[in-house]
Amino acid sequence: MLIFDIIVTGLMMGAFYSLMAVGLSLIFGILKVVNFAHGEFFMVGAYTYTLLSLNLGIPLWLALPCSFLLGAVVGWLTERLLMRPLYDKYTTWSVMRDEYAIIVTFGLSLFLINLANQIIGPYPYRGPQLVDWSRIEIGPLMISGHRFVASLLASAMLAAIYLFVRYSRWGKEIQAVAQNRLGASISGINSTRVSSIVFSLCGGIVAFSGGLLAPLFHAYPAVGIFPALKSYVVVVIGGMGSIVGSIAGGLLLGLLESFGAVYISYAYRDTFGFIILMIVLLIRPHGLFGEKVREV
Amino acid sequence: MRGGSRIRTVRELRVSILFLAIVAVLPYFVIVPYWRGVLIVAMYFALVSAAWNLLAGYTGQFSLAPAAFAMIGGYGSGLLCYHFGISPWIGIPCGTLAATVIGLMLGRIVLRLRGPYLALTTLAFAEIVRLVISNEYEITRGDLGLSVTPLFEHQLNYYYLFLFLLVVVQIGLYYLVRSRAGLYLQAIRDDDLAASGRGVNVVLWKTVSFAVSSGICGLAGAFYVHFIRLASPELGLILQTGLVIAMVVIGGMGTLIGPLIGAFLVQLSSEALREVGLSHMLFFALTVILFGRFFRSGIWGGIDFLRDKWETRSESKEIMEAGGSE
Amino acid sequence: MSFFQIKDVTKSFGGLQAVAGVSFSLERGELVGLIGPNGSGKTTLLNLLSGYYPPESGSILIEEQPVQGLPPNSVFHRGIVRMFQQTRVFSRISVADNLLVSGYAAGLDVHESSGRAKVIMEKLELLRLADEDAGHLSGGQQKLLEFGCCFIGDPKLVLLDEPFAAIHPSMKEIIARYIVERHAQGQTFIIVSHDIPAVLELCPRSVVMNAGMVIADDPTDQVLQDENVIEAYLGEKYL
Repeated sequence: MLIFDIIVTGLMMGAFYSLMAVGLSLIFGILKVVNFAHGEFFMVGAYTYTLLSLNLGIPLWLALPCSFLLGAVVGWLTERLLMRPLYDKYTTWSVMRDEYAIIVTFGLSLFLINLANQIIGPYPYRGPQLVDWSRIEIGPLMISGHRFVASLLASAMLAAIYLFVRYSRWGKEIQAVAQNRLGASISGINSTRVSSIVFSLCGGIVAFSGGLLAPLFHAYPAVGIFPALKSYVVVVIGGMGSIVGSIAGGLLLGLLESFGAVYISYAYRDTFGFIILMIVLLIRPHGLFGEKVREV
Repeated sequence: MRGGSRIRTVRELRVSILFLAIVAVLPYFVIVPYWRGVLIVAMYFALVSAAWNLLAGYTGQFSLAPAAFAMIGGYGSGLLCYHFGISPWIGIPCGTLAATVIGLMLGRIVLRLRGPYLALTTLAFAEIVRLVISNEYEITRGDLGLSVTPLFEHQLNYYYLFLFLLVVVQIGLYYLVRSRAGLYLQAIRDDDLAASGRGVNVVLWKTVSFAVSSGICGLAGAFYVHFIRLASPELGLILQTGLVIAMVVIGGMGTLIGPLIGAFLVQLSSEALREVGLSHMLFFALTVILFGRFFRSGIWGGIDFLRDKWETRSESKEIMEAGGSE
Repeated sequence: MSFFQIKDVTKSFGGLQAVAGVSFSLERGELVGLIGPNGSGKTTLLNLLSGYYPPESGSILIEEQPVQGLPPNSVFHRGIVRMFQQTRVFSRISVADNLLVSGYAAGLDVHESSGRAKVIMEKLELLRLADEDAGHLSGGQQKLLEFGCCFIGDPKLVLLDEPFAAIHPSMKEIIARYIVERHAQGQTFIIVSHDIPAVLELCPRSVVMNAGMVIADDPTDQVLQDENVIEAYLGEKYL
């Protein structure tokens, strides 16, 4: 039945959106700024997975974790080199931290895209599918085998992150810093190290998504732009800094696009998210789940 | 910084006029049409950069849609020209008007948004507009673009037309920044909540800034489209906005001359790098990161800083000499 | 009728009622202190009076004109100006320009604005910094600047939020002196402060808030002997 098909497709895609959004959300929770190079972590993962398996013949079950790792490294470097001034006192940018974050991460995004273009080339590489079954039958539905497995992995990763942040010691430190950076430092938490962890984690998760989606989206320099844009939509709708919100938002966006593509317009399926974004921002500038910030 | 904001602005205007005077006489030395063309493109970018600088550097609204408004201006004129054969001299004002009105509406819509929220909304807007133009093949011919009639036969006419526009915009911006409106905008940039409490109609001025900025982008785009004889969705790519941001950041955000220096510098270096075979975007992206990280006030800020150092040095020399002779 | 009146104003945030029905009124030229322990709702009340939040209920009237619900810039035009607890200046324009913003907003022309700005800068000993970017000033100087910006447009009512907090005593002196000078010319003030000695010295009358409500409204020396006030500040065991 068509409806089930649409719902399942939407949820599967939504799992990926949620995964990417959670990373962005964590960063925002810690640093209160948006990372415009988010999509490039995705690209790094897509390339790692694809090139390792195609060119170096590395088995897929190893290539995926490698994408995670490389993404984590890139995330760590980004934080270490570029994000420190956001919480250092001695900077001329301290008044305009939003501006700084946008400029620097935007620059990073352009840099990474063009670096990939220069070193690897603009030709898209098709990542190998995780499983050979092109179609699986589950009840009345026919789903692509790879998508099914990939979304299961994405969901597993989501669950793992949720549990990690909620219950592990590092996770609790993350929560503490997100709520009150100064207070957390005074309590003995090394907030700089927490920032490093969060950025590395985010880089890893997003790169992992890139690897998972490489067979669908392929790997090319600008591959991360649209997934990143959609992550922003999810994070804003779900509330910046809220993991649950990001998960809910991601699934919602997946469903929305799925229904929209069939019932409204296939050509504009990518715009529904943006339109919803604009509407949500106008009505509730802090998203549906995020915290309201008192201004004066 | 010594001298304060008022004196700085006057200084920036003087240097701008000097700079533009040099650009005016360049064609006597630069005879190759290709390089004259590069300079014209630089002037197009200088216009868009100046417009974005008004919005982001002077009013504090970090929009990611300047390229989209240039595209709107371009298509406003281009569609009229392509479908109805309307002369560009009528089409261009129409395109500019379209960009101004849409900018006004968007500005009104994003009033309460700040920082990343504003950036994301304008980004979403820009992408939607570009997607619509790309997809509505029937009307816009999609990615193929619309071929439009040129304004002049000779390249030199375009050169001086764009220069004229640039001079008008620079002088206009100077008077704007120095007027009470300019003070209001800067107050909004520095602290819009406090500005409201001190009587500034933040709603009005944010909207005006958005409309004027979008209008200038649209104007630039409309003229540009008739220069390259093509209206294409490429005009509105995020990449173009990225270039504009790079130009303003490198030149010096929040100054009159920053966008001017930045646009010419980036455009000319970009050509030079292309000759050498290096990716110019890679270089500029790196430059943006470095400037963002370490040189907040851009190149002009650096020049200003050095000039201040020089002045203080000569002042202390004078004082020491005066003291020494006693 | 009163020059300035607040009637039954309330405001809550989520479940917390920050202002729970406040009423008082001022005559023209009064200098009133607004005191109370932390969290009593003083700053929220100031935000309501200056238009940063609309009250949930109640009215705020200046010279019989209602101002509740108006945005801050409209409230400014009705004659109410305020200072913030955390100093706010426009850091990338000059000290003189900071003053001019308020001057122009109040409808003054260039000459009038510059003239008044100069006078204020002289009184507050900021004249030599006139062309410096406000962001380069020390914290205390910025506070003086923000204070000065209140007066350039002939306001009807000036709301000061902790004007004496965290600054050098000499600057405190300057501010206090200027308040006295303006008060002598008929300026109406509400001063929120934790500096009880300063309030005692400057304000003939004080309104005391606790937990969002007014618990006392009397001449200042009386108020400080009031049992309820002492209990509010120090707790029951000190009675």
